[in-house]
Order: sequence, then structure tokens, then C-alpha cells
Amino acid sequence: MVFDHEEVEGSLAASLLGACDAKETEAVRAHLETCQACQELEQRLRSVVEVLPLAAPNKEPPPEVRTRLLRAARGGWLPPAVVVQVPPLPRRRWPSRLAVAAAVLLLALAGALAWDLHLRLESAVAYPMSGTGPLATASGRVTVLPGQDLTVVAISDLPPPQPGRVYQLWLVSRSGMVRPAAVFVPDLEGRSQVLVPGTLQGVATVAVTQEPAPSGSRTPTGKPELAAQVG
Amino acid sequence: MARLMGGETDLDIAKALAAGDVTGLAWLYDRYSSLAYSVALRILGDPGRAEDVVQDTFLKLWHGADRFDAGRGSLRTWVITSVRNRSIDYLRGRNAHARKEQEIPLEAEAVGPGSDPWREVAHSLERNLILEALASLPAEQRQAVELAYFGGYFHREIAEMFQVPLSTIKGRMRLALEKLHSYLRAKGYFDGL
Ligand SMILES: [Zn+2]
Repeated sequence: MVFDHEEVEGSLAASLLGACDAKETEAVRAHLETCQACQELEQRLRSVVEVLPLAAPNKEPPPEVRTRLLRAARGGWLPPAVVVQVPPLPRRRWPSRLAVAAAVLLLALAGALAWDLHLRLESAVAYPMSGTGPLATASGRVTVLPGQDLTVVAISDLPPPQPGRVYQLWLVSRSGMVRPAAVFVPDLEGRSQVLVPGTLQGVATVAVTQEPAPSGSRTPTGKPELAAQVG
Repeated sequence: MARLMGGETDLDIAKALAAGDVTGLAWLYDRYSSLAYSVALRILGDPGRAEDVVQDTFLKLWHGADRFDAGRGSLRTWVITSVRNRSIDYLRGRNAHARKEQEIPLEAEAVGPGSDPWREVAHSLERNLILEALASLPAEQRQAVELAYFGGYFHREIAEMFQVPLSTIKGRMRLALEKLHSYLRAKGYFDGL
């Protein structure tokens, strides 16, 4: 089966979605090797197909699956002494209220520091934040400054929090542990700049919820409304 | 120490896997098993089968770990593409007949009420955005994508279901993916990838 350019353009999406038989898939693949326009189309459409699985409702497999898998990987026999366990991040490492207070203090300094931060942003790594629900219009950027051992979370178009609430920033580790990072309210123009000590090592997500004023919560009580994937 | 605290990077994991270190498999599993299981369950609709497919997929990735190429995509993509394909093979093979009678959920599903949002938070924002993008599509385009990707149906089968020409279904798939791309890009989704 040989496909011309137009046929491939027509079949590419179906092929990426796994909806073509082997012959058609192969015909698409063969044409792709020779056609730059189709390669560009393929790249664009593939980037979407790759994230479709994330639409699946989140479910955890039972713990036995892990045990069975590791036993099978070891060839069916796993001496107890070498059972591989990756422990979750220990709770005591999460900052106490004191650290939250420190982060709030840092926030107060944010304005004063902002002027020279832009000078330091060049070596930084940045991640976009996007909002949903009430914060759908808000956007932000998480910038890690390795040299300063500091992370800056800059948010704009943030509506005022509901009465009696403040915004609280959380760091979520890859194993799902959540720790508070800062409490903040936006300025009159809906902007906030929050400084977080450290470089987000082991953190997968930075998220914002609304929590009771003035000092927020120890663990989140609201739904995440604004977040960035950072790891 | 950082390795024990979940701070390992995808590159650390890939290196450990390539070196045949089972710790790499444990890291890979701890990071991506819930996503893999969610995808398998979404496709298969049966927890027992989804568990089998997840275990098989990770085992297969473990045995062929050298085939992961960091230059060609992320570990996450590697894992979820594998688990999706394996789930679909399962549907198309052993279960191909029963599948016809199975009800395929066509509507984008919301995050389940009563679940602990913080168990899910690492993916929930990303998922919500993708669900929003899917929900923004005309129903016939969304159905074409979901039936193919999650339902494992071939384009011909979908064309028969809707009693439309094959080219119409292919066109819906193409339009759907283009619109999803524009939607996600406008939200800055691809900026950080
Ligand atoms: Zn072409």
C-alpha cells in the first residue's frame, strides 16, 4: 500500500489514535520519512494524542501489584533482605507552621526584592501555571533559581479570594505528599509574587487553593484551582 | 539520600532500568503506576484485568528497558503509550466480540466526587484541562477520538457505527486533534513541555 501526501494527511490522525490497520499505519509511516510537511503535522497531532490518557479518571492499583511485579522482575524469587521499597517523603521534613510563617514573611519582602529578581532570572527554569474553575482566567509562572536556592511563583489576573479566605500555595511531591509553602493575597491589580525557599527538588506540582484566613491550613481543604507541573 | 526521597529524575530512572537495576523499576512503578492503572481501567473497565495489564506492561518495559530513548519522548509517554496499546491489544484480542456489546462511555468524565483531591492533585489540574479541551469539541469529533483511543475501535468500525463514510471519520479525528492542540496551546499547556 503506497499513500500519497493527501492520503497521509487524511489518515495521520486516525493512525496516531491507533485506529488504522497495520498496512495503513505502515503506509503512513513510510510517507512520513520523506515529507517534511507531514512530519510537522505528525508532531503537532502526536503531542495531543500523548496527553489523551491523562483524561482517564485517577485510580490507584492495589499494593499487591507492586509486590508481584518486583517479584516477577527478580525472576520469581525475591529474598526479603533486598525487597525494594521506595519510602514516601518523610513527614517530618515538611515545614512546620514556623516555616509557613517564614514564607509569609518572605512574601512581605517580595516587593522589595522584586527589583533585582529580574536580573537573576536568566539562569532560571520556568514552568507555566494554569487555572481552572474560579481561577480559569488566572495564570502564572513558577521560576526556580538554582543559584539563589529559591523559587519564585508569579501570578497574574488573580481574583480576590472569597471573604474569610486567603490563597495558599502547596508543594506536592511525586509520591503525593503535600506541604504548605505560603499564604498570600493578590494586590489590587490581581498580581502576586510568592517566594519559596529551595529549588523544588522532588516536587511534582505547585498548586494553589483557597483556605481560611489569615494563616491558611496545615493540609489543604479546598480543591486546587491553579497549578503547575514542575517535575 | 535524594534517591530515597523520591527526588530521582526520569534520567536516573532510565539509567537504572538500562543497567538492569530493579530499583529503577520500583521508581518507575511508584511514579507512573497510578496513571498506568487509570488508563488501563478506563479502557478495560475491569479492575482485575487492568491490574494484569499494568503488571504485564511494567514487566515488559523492564525486560525491554534499553528501548527507551530519552531523545524521543518522556518516560511518562513511554509508559502510558505502552499501557494503552497493551490494553487495546487485550480488548481487540481476547475480548473482541464482547466489546461490541459493552457500553462505551462517550462523555468526558468529571473527577469523581468524594475522592481525596490531594491524592490526585499531581495530575488533576492537567486532567481537568484535557477534559475541558475534550468537552469543547463537537460531540461527533469527541466520540471519534474516544472510541478509537479508549475504545480500541478501528476507523472503519466507527464509520459503520455512525453510518458515515470512512473519510468523514478520518476528517473528524483530524479536526478533533487540531482543535485539542489549539485549545491546549492557547492555555499555555505545551509551553513547559
Ligand atoms: Zn506529506
